[in-house]
Amino acid sequence: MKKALAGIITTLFMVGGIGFSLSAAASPVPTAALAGVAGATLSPVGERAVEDIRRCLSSSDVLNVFYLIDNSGSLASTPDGGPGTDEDFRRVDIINQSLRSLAELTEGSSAKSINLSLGFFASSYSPGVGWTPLTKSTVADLESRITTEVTVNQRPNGLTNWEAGVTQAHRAIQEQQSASPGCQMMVWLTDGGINVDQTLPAAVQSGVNLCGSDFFGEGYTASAPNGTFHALRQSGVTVFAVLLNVGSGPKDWRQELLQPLAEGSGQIEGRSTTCGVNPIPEDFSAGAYIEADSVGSLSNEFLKLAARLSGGSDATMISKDKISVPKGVARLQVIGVDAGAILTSPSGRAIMPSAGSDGFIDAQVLNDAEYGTWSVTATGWSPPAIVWGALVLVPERDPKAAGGAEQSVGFTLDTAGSTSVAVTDYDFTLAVRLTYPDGTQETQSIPSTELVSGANTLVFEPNPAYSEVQIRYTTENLRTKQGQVPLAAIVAEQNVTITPPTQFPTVSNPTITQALIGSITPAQGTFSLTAPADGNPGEVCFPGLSSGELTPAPTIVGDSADRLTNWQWSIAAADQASVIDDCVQLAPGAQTTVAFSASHPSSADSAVQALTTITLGDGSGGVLPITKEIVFPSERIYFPVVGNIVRILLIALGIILPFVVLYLVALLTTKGFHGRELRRATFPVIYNKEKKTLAPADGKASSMADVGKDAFTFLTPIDDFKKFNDPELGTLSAVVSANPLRAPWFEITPRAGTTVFTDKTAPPIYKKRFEGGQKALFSGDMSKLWALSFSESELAKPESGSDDIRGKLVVFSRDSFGASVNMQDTMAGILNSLRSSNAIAEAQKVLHAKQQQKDDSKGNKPGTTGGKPVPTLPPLPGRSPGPFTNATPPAGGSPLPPLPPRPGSRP
Amino acid sequence: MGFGLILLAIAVGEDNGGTLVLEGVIGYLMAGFATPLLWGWDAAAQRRGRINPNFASRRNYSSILRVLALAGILVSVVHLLLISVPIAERISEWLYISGIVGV
Repeated sequence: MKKALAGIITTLFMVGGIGFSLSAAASPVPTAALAGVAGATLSPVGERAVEDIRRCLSSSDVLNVFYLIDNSGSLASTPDGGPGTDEDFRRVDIINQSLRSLAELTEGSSAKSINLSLGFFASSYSPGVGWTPLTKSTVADLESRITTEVTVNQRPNGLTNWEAGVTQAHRAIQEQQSASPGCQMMVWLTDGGINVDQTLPAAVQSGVNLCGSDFFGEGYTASAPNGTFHALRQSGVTVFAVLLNVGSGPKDWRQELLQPLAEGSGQIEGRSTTCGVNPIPEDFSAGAYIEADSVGSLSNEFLKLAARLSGGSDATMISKDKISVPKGVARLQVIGVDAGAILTSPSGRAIMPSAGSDGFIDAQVLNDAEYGTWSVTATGWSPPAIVWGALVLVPERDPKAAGGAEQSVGFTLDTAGSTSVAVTDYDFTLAVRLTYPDGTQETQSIPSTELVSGANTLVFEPNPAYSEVQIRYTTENLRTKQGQVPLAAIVAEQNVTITPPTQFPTVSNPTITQALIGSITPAQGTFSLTAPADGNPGEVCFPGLSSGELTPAPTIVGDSADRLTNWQWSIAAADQASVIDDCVQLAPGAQTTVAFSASHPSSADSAVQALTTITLGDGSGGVLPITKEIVFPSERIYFPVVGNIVRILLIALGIILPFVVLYLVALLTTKGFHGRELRRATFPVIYNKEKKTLAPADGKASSMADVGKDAFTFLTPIDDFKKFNDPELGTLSAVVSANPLRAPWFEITPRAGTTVFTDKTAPPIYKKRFEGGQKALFSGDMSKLWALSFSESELAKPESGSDDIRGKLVVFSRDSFGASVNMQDTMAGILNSLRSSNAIAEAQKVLHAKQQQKDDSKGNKPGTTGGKPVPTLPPLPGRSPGPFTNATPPAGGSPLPPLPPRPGSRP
Repeated sequence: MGFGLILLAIAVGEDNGGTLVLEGVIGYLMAGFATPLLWGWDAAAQRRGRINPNFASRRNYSSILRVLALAGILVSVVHLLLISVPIAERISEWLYISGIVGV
């Protein structure tokens, strides 16, 4: 397995490495690098990813590589305690071996500067090794640091949070790209499916954030438009995603997601899924998905694949073990052979697998005698072999061309020093495509017969409206002239700086001094302006320079987050610059700078590409509008912890706020209605709890219907009230519950030592509040209020005593125009209410129970109060004293007045 | 009216662009704030109306408004979640730029 993984990673680098020379003959792949690779065939998108890296390296000297390594707990052990996928830290050897192979690429005629960084991810991201130049002299130190990080400092633990790892890796690459621009590559090694917090919704949301599309169609929204991987592709990062699916059976969606993430499309649970913009735009970098599931079975397949991707192509087989090697083939390889296999050239040279190169034979074609038919002697070998050509195309580095006139740029075509093969041994057509920053393209097609070995020139007329054009060379239909053996296409790229005619000033490509960080820190950069080369004065006009705002705003032509509008651009010339209106004046030979900044309210991880039009003036009336490309990185700063805290606070506040408002509305609008012409009367009454009747207590009226209408007196008019004090009843108030879902109510709180009853019965939910007559409900309209008030001592008389309870009836009434109160109807209503209510009887029971409890706690017998006899009323006239009545008057008080004869009773 | 506000709020809240916060706040105010307010207003009006002997109470209106208000509060959670992202971004940026928290 170790070898397999080493092979995968190493091969990736070697594939890139081939791009340096574009010729296997010139830069043969170290055999150790390809040893023991296990893997699967790359998809067309995966192949394009390799081509993207090769092409990029043909025009850049720098390669920034980031290793993102899975460090989840599954590497050490399974959840049920079983062995992990790499409990012996074999990945240390894998990584370190790939470093050694990578270091090879930093030497030689086409040496590259390689910057390497490494980070780990599990439940979260953890940096490992910062950006470090990789050379043969630093590789030992790097290996040591990585070993310490993996085996000591960062032991496997936690879940598999892809998003945390990939986001931070992207950020690290962006920062490095600002410091040292070049080709970008990320090797992402994971041993399991996405698992953020062991819940499905979190995993799907995280997957959607990475992918950019709601692949399950369940209403998830990505945190950034098109997703994280689209941003990686847009910013030119080639991602090689390697899934170590070792013996874990069929993949589920969590693992299947890896392919659409890396390549932009794939299958999840049998359904076609795309991530980001598809197909991947031409100016984006594609990614590749590689799955390793066993050491041996995929080894040969991956070796063939790696060989093909490194510039090889399928050989023309004469028979199962005979290979056609005509003039033009510089190298060949047979893969999947046993250790005793032999590859024999036409000249009789026999080649066997070298030590350490398990399963393949690699051979260079040394001289003319070796052209012809090669034979393979091996068991279990499956053709075809792989062959490489020797053709190399190297474009001129950093060429410049004046716009508006026919210009030429150079490129060399040779066979990398081969003495036996010449450029003329190949048939092909060189397709040349020129691409300007706005995407406009021009193409040329040059047959190989018009090309010579050595220096060649491409003639074209650069569009002066642009300051740069990218030229891509591709060999189409590349074959050996002899035998017509097809070979892999050669791709190379060069960026040509277009300079204006000499009478115009020049404007440099912008230098970015600050990346766009979130929405707070704007991207910043400068243009350097230089006076015309012909020694005359000139001017450079930026739209809106005088106002400090770049208007019209530059056109956004590339942003993975699709932030096409709402950009704020500012621009300012250097202090010493001479500015007239929107134009910077340049004296002969002068140089100055113009600074600009850009910000956007939405933050995203992206590389923003914008085009702005600048007008050059030659000082004598001639103008030349040019388009300048501004490219700057954009970073999204987001801490998930902060997000969670904000989310919880917002939801809590958001839900509480409407309830607070409801409460306030109820508090402000709930008032008892008093109004004008309100009259009030108080009547001493006797309530018979047995018959539930009322009788006048003053003896002036024979029945309640006859009580005095004249007893009503007008109250001082007020409109409404929150609280109202009644001398007999106590406090009448409007009450708003702290629970705004409950309707407000109106209640009477009796004075101390008294109880109160109305016609309203409290709902069960408020039973405790209103029990025992300690409070009474009313409708809020005082004109409809009547209430009975009893003293607590009167109500708490022993049950064995009299049925009559003395109290007061308070009645409110409003009869318009001074009409007298209709006492008959009023009293009929009161009596009816009393008859249908058990409130007074229940209140009495509550008081008795309380009394009992009180007595029990003091150790007294029932029926006594504090050791003293319970005061009882004298018997009503016409009644004999009850068996338990006591004639003694209540302690501390005068005897109650005798009750008047009850209506209809005999004296 | 409350039902219409909820629908409008859902529609407005779907935008995920740069004006997310403003739209989220509008959506929240309409769904999670206005409907409870309308419910409270109706309840207060019905309480006051009882004073008038000619007033006919429409309890089913209050019931519908109560359901809508509770539904509106639930819908408003969606808006709050949307608003939380840019707000958290701003706070994260501030923490990052001020050096309190590193990336």
